Amino acid sequence: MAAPKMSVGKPTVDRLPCNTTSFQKKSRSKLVSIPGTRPSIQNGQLIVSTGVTSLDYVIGGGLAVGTLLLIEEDRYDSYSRMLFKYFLAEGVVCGHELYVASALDHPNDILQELPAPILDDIASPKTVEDQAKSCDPESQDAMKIAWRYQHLPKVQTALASSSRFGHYYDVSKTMDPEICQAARCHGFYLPEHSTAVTSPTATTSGQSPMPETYSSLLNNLQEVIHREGFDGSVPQTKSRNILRIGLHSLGSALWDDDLCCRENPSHGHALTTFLYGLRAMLRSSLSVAVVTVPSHLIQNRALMGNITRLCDTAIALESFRGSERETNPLYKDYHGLLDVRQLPYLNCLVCDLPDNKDLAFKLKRKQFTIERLHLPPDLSETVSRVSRGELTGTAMVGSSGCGSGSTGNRHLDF
Amino acid sequence: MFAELNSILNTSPDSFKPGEFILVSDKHTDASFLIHHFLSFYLRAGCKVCFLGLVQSFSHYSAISQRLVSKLFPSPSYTYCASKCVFTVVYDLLLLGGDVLTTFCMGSFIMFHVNQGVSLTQGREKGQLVFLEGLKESLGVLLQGEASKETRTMDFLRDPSSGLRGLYDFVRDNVRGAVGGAEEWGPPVLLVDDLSVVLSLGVSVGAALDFSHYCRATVCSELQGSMVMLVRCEAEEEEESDDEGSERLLRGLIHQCSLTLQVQGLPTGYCRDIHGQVEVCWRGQCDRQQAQKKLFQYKVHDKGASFFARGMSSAVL
Repeated sequence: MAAPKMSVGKPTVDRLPCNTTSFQKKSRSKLVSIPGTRPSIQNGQLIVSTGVTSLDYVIGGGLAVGTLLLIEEDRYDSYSRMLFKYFLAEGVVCGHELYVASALDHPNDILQELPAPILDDIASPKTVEDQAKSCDPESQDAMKIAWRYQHLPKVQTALASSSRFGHYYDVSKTMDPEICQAARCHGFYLPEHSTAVTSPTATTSGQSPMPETYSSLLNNLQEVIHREGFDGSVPQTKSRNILRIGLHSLGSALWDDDLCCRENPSHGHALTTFLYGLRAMLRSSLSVAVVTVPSHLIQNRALMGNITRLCDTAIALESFRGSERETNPLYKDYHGLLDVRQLPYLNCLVCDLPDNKDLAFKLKRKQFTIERLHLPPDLSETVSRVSRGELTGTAMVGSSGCGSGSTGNRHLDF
Repeated sequence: MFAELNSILNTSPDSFKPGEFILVSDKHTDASFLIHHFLSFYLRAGCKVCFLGLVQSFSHYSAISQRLVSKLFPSPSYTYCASKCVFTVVYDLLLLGGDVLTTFCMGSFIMFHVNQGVSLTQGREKGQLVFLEGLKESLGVLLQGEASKETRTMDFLRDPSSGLRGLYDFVRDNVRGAVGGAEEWGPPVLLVDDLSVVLSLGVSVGAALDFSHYCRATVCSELQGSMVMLVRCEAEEEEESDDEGSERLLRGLIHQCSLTLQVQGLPTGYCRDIHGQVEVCWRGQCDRQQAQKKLFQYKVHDKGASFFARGMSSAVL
């Protein structure tokens, strides 16, 4: 269950100061207190919010600093772009620095489209409490039909965490320009950089695995990190901050990469080499990166597997828009499916495995919710044979599980 | 170090076979917990360890090694309850806390739980462990890499067609150890975390197989040391892959090795209590006529992993 799990592991910082004892837990952690971050409950890593509280819960509390989140885009890049903007908006609200790289839209245009934050977030904890209250009177005079299942927890579909770590955004409004300008932002717009770049290395060494676009991006990123002191090079004249890096649609043809165009790309290792360099850079600096990749265009699944393994956290979005599932009554409440492909092992042997891997999302005006996909009971006279195995078959096939993955569509029928 | 795995493999830090090439492979899951096992195993055995950490930073391995606790010995742990003045002697057959725990009571009576983890930083300082941080070295090569750099270990990033020669030179130089060294370590051990990442960086399968062959000739045959390599595969269900790289690498390495540990997820799907299965296969050696195979299921938890026969998980029984 979502709520008890969170309350057990609540950090002592959030507890109300009404303790009667003067006993204080001696904190041995040397974590710096950076606004917008908190230590993770599971393993003490410093984590930031992705901007979507449901997504934070699904990936284990948040995004750890120094790691990379890969978002596999949905077909029209609508919801993945939304997640990208949520990530950047969260950075603006928390006061982090931003680095946006895009080949299609100018970074300034992306920043003007960020959703407006809802600054009074009292609404969110209330909804969780309301649900709890509505459940109690029911349980008192509940008929004991399903007595076998009494000891099992009630199915809670909403996966929001109850802490105030993340913020909520109103998608129908854009962020105030003043708030936006208060944040420091570095942009990398590929058409501006491609004409100016000269690569002396291409002439000396043989064949570099990375095209110029990726090398110039990597160099620019390293320069920003070094100049602003995120890797600890600059002595601490100012307080520490996090750099949020957003790289949009890497691997698409606009980045001079034919990964999405051909089955056997000539630069098959360009993106993986870039991600390796990015991983090295992230591990040695106070930054978080979100990369979106149009994976539906990549025909070679093995390459996608390599890309996924070089990232830390990987999720895939599949929207129903334009497919036959849009009219399927089973999916009428949702906008798409979300698949958690990989969760990171950060300084410990285990990762935070979710208990349920069938997740669906829906984008409401004030919230991007991710819920467990469960089928309602079939009360019709003829039992419908459209089973879960068929529906979520495409989501589960080809998914590399975090701990163990299902390798086939075994529909067990009793 | 996982005690159950030691008993499955019939080894212990005091007695293990020299000249072993152990291959750890995984499919749709992550078998790096076995690498942590072998790292602490060989460090505890007093061997000189050369570790090529190509995918994670040093602090990752160091943090995990500190927490790995051996489950071999039951030891009494005295816990003092401050409010009740009661001593309880608890035989801790499961995991001991890895931290130093001091308990003060009225009679100034102090008990210590000694940290049973292995410290990698200490090993590095003493010279027992040589660690190549692939990520750190790679940055210098990828960003405006100058050809005049003296370290050519990660050269394959700049030019994948040149192969893993630089990496092999690094291994060869560090595996022999100092001639007039103060400490005498045991036989050398080479650990490679994730040989398949070089395939995603553009190196050919042939070059990777050459590298492993050269290392095996140096480490296992010449110096009678051991080698452990991790290979991660991405299996295609459709089987239409045209000689896909990591499958070929896996097949080539299985041919070269003496012991394989193949880790897979459960074929029936995802389960919280059983994370997967391990197939241990001893390849035919001169004293054993045919290959011997054993299948176990495992569960990884915070301080170790437990291995059990199929269907014998504690969650089921």
